[in-house]
Amino acid sequence: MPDPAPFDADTVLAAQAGDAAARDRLLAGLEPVLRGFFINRVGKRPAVDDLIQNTLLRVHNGLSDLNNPDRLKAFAMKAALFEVQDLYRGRYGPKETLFDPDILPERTMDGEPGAAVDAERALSLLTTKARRILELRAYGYRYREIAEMIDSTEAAVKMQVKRAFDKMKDVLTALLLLLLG
Amino acid sequence: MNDPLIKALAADHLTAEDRRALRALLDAEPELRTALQRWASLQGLIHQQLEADLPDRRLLVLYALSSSAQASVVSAEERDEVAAVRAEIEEAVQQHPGLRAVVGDIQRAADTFDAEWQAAATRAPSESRGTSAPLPRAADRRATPAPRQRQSSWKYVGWATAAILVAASLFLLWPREPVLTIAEGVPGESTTITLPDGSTALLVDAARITYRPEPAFDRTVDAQGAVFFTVAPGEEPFRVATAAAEVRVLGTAFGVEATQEATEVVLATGRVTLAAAGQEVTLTPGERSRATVGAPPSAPERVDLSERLAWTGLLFFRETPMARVAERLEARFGRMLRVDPALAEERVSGTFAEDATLEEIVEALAATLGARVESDDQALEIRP
Repeated sequence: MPDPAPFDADTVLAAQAGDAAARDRLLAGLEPVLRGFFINRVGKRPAVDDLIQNTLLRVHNGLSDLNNPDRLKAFAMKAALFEVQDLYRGRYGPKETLFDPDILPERTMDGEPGAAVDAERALSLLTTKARRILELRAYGYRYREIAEMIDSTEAAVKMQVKRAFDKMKDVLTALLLLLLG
Repeated sequence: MNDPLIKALAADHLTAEDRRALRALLDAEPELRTALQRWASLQGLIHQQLEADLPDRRLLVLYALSSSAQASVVSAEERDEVAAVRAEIEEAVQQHPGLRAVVGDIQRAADTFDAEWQAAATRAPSESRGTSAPLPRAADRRATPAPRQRQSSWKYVGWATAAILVAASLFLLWPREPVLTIAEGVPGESTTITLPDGSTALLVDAARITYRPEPAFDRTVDAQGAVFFTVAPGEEPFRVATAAAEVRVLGTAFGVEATQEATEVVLATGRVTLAAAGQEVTLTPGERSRATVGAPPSAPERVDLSERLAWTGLLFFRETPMARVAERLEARFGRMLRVDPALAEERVSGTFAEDATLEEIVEALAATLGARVESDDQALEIRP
């Protein structure tokens, strides 16, 4: 027994067969589901419209590959989840600029002898909580979202980051002095 | 939370005032500046480790779903996919506390989707369920297939001439309002689409592009298949998004071959950036890079443009000696082309449409070199 749906299996089959009206009905039925889902995930942001469009496009493009029309919900759910992952992945790059370049010119540890080993050593100083926050940030979550995930507040999460930095500050500076010396 | 250091460490954006306060702090404490630089590097390292240990986020989603209340949405094929990499994913989740949290978040997101689905099914049963019921609202909003057949002249990049007149099948996807235009090429043919900003996309075979029509066009195009773009200069970057990567440009000409698994970009003129998996490379003319899903783009490599972009039907020269240009033209048109020895080593760059004639090309070349063209029954000749 398939789940109740905003449209029936015949609509899906008709859309797959090229019936434009059925396709429109299908996409129109999906739109409020996606809107509610994405607003729940990322808030009422302009990005929601893009996420909806991209997901509808995934569904539209994959419609012909759907063997069982009752699987549309599963297909749309996965499309929406993949879309959220793409959003996270696109938010921050590996060399995220936390600071204005003219304030803090980028400096990496690439190419410095022993840098990778020292960096690993520095990371090992992080607590599990701090590392989880930094990993989630690197994964693409915002601090507000991280706070919701770990049942905390945004301010508390940022304070955790500050504490982690304070703990590592001397080590980080010492590493540089050691390497330059 | 007015501590400038906290803002520097954990703010999404710094205001001008924040920057001033941070600059003052760092000027007073040079060692702090060093530590912050190191901190930023460590964050980059964390990102790299995550990308290396979990190269495919799609599989993490399927992994999370397969052990959740929504496990039934995972197909048999996907279960096999997950089974093949389960050990690697579990190791990554074990090593990274952040990934453990992500798995839980994906599972909650699936429950949210399920709740929205159920709510929509309950909310409007008479509006959109059942094919025999009248559907006035949906019908009123029906997307009208746009019978627009755009004609576009394929202009030169540099100094090429001639034009291609083609038709495109365009239709609107979005049911409520025309916010998405899809242009599909015709199998076996090349189709040129002129975008709202004047840029053109040459769709080869059944390639497809999707974009917002005027006035909402934001110089962002989704591409699938083999497409050659000539981008009109503009203040906003022009973006081409594919399943595997994103290309950002300002004004240039380049070819994109995009499948669900990989994207290859070959740059003819200008400058583009190819971004994937959180990393990016910048191409200069005559270079190629390729990105597969979940992996960063390959290092740019020099390629023969004519060879790599042969699928466009266009003819490319990039800093090519005239003697070599003559050889290619002879091979393409089957007619002898002589180049005066004084011009043989002169280098030229340009792109010609596939239907440009030999005479048109040679005249353009001669004009570029300040030379003249002579012809007889057997050959064309370029002389100083």
